[in-house]
Amino acid sequence: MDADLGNLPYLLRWGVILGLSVLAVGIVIEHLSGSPLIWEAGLFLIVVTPASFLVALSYRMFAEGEHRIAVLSLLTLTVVVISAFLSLS
Amino acid sequence: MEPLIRFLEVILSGIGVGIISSMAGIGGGTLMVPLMVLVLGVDVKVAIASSLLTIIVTSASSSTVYLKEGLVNLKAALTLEPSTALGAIVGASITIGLPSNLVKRIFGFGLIAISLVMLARTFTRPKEKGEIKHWTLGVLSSFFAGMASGMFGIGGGVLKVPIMNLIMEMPIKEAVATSSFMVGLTASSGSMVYAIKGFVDPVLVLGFALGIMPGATIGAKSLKGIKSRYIKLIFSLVLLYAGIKLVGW
Repeated sequence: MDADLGNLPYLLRWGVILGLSVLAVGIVIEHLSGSPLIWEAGLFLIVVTPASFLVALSYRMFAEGEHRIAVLSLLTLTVVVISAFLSLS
Repeated sequence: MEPLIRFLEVILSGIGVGIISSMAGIGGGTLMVPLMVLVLGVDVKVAIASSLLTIIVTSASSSTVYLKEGLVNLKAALTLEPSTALGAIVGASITIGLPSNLVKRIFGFGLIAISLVMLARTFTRPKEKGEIKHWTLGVLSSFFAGMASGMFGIGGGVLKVPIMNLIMEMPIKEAVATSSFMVGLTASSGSMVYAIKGFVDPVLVLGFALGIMPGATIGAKSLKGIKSRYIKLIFSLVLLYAGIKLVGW
């Protein structure tokens, strides 16, 4: 183990649980009103959960002086963000 | 009524994937996509996209435990992940650009290759101890593991674990935990490409995610008394058969 993460790992679990809940509600709403907006928000929450974890991880690691892990975390995040922009183009 | 029956079908498939994948000690991606395509009749690109989204959920659940227990090697995960994520984006972009029929065949070939890797792993003794070596080779190989993930909708653990354990000489327990954490990040990069292009089926994601979690618990409990090597062997042969069927031989 490289560093103490405290309760940070739970961000991953709760992020996807929130995403799945919104997704479930969104599927029902789409059946009732035809709007896919809510389930799309649920998918978005699931997809960004790992990236949010990386943001939180880099913040915590910088605060704890673990600069190497913080920089690596930001580097990974940059690749993920670039992927989002490339997908949009 | 029909959507509800379809949803129950997906949940049951998810329970099946959860049971088998936890018994075989692998992620569900390699099983999910063939099941969606061959049994549920889903288009291969939609299956790949939905599988990647489901993998984020299952990986988040397991890596929370691994991170809390301190089993994940963060330095290794975050060193390997940029090239893996890049590979996933490249893989996903390749798949999106190809016609579905060709993707199905390529996925079949990929599945055959993965099943052969799994067969080889069944007979290979994992390294239990060691200092991590060959970082450059690990980073380069990770790109291809990511590419397979993005192209085929799998987590890529089936390739990441051997890369970390056999090439980089990371202890097997650490490699499994680190791979489990990386799988979610890789799937997130790959799925972004598919989600933005509108290939994800929300019912498949929800159904499989809800099914896999209890399925994995049932699988883990049923594992007692059964030799995991035999399960892996049978599972590799099933994947080989699915791969051959997808190729159309």
